[in-house]
Amino acid sequence: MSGISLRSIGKRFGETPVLRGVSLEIRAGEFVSLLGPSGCGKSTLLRIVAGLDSQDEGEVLIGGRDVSEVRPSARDLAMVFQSYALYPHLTVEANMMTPLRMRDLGAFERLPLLGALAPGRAAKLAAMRARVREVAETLRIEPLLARKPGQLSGGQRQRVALGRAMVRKPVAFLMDEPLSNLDAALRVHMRTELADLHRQIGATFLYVTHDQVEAMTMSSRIAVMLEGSIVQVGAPAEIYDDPRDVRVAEFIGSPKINLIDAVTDGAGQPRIDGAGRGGQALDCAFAARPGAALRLGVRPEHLRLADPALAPLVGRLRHREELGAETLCHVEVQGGAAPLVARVSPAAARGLRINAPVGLVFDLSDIRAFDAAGLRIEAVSSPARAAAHV
Amino acid sequence: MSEAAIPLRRAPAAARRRPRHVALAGLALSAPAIALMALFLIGPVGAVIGMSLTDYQLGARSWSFIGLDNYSALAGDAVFWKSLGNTLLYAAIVVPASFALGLGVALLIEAGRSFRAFYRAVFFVPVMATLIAMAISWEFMLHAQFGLINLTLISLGFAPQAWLANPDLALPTLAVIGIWQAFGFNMVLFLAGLVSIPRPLYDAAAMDGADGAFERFRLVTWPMLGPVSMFVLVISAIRSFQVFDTVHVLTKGGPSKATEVLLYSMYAEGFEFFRSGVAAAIATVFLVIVLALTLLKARAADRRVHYS
Ligand SMILES: Nc1ncnc2c1ncn2[C@@H]1O[C@H](COP(=O)(O)OP(=O)(O)OP(=O)(O)O)[C@@H](O)[C@H]1O
Ligand SMILES: [Mg+2]
Repeated sequence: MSGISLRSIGKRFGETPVLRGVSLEIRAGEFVSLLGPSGCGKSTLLRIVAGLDSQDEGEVLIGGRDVSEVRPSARDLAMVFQSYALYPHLTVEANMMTPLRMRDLGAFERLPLLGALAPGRAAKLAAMRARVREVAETLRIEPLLARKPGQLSGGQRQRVALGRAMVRKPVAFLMDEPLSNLDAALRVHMRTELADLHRQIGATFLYVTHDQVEAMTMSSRIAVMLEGSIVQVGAPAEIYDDPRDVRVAEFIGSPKINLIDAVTDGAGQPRIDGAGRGGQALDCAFAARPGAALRLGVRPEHLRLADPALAPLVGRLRHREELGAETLCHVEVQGGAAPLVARVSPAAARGLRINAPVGLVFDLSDIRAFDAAGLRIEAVSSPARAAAHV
Repeated sequence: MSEAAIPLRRAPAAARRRPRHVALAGLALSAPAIALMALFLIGPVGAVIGMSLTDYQLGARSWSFIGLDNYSALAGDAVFWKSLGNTLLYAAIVVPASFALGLGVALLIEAGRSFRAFYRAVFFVPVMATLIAMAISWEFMLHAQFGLINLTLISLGFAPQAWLANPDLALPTLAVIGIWQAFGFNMVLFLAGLVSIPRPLYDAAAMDGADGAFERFRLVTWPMLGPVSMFVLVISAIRSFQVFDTVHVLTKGGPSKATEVLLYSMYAEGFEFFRSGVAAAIATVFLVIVLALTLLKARAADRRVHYS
């Protein structure tokens, strides 16, 4: 078990830069998710860590050692591939034994017929079989050991792929969207199992996913990757509550964070264009020049329905999604680009008709402000939470 | 992914019990193909088998049914056994060599980055060329006095050889030409097979510790080429059993029957001695061998090289 450090990794395919100076520190035993939309370079980064691709710039350190010149097999990592990449001609048992055979048997011992003559080979094989059985037990795939991958379901294949990675004790596990081929129920189940597994063996995990729920539920920390750079690294709650970039705020959370355009006045207080109560400035201030354009982010669960006459935001109810435990109200605000979404209790939304005028209120401390370039701007003053909501 | 590599082998049971009109439509649609096959394949084969049971001679007015006499005559004929043995020996040289060479060249081309199309074309040229014409070129190259090969040998200080006149060398020489002609075809088949091996398997092999060329080959390439290898093996065997053109042009079965092969014996019996009945019996033996090879592929081996 070792930590992994990435130091300004750069990679281009032809002329297109795919990774732009990616740096990331993964401590030993940590579960770090690499989260980002499709095509942002997650797999490429993982393959560079594994040694399957080489970086154009920067260095990869595993356990403090620069492995840039080290072959994949010598890096002592285990990888689970998105497509599982099981050997279709081998049984599940043989698949899981392959990493052990390749490492623990000498070249002579691996020869098809002659190898049997090598002294001690039988004992080694027995030990490997025992180890495979042990891992198969943990993953509950023992009854499948004699089957070929073609005779397994997606979930079973996924476990076998996991098992093949687990039979050794590698310094770290690399996983490339291992759950993306599973159905929803199995994905939820495997999420728990993976998290359990991480707790049990305490190894370092680098886990690639484009599914924020996976990342949020399993990780010690999340690295959000966008267009070839890591934009923010932090614990799941931190990424959610304290996004440093508007793209991170938008990428994490479902439904998406609401973004409201505003302009700061002389005191740094934001004024929401054309909104309720005569465009009065909000009673909080941000570290921005007077007249600067801001985007105020408010999560759907931080919006509440209120009397239109009193609320800082007013609009009409466009659509209502009843999800049982909660209701999503889509409110079209005058001058706003997209409807704002409020996540409220079903009771609060019950009386509302479509097209009814609706007011929206929020705690000023729940606002996250971003400048025109998308970078987060800190609040310099906002009232205490109790007194808040304008 | 593994599914991609697995062709569907059997229709599900439900699909086999079709409603009547579907069955009729199927029959109607396949009727033209069946008719053509009957006319051009099954009919002639039946005719040959029938003819092998007679003493028919080319151009003769009358013939009579003589049962298995032609076959028993063949069984007692030293030349027939010699010709069968030569054919098997020829195949035993050409099949493994053209298999190994085809695979080796395909692996080299696949591993390299530049000139892939060029190499593919160069090695495929002998396959496309007319073998009769190529055999004539080989005849000149192999000529005992002024052939390119002997001249080269002499200039390098080796003794010249009578390639086609020496009974010990004639068949191996023909086999080398056979290999030269056949391996390009195998190479193309192997190239297609190599391209369809899923890349992630190699990545997985590298992570598992198999990142040397030989280990990669043993763990991934060779097993994944199973179906292609089987096909190449059977096709090469059938094609080398069909060896005729080079024999006809270069040696005419000689010297002293050293290159007498099945199809050449058949040709000689049928069109030089006009014993069509005997020729038909040889043809039948040939057909049985080819059929056996085909069945071998379809039955036993198919199951072991497809991973379903
Ligand atoms: N071998 C390659 N040659 C050229 N471009 C490539 C190659 N591999 C990846 N790319 C490009 O690099 C970018 C990043 O690819 P990568 O596979 O790392 O994305 P990803 O984040 O893993 O996406 P996904 O979630 O869809 O798997 C993509 O735009 C892709 O088109
Ligand atoms: Mg990917």
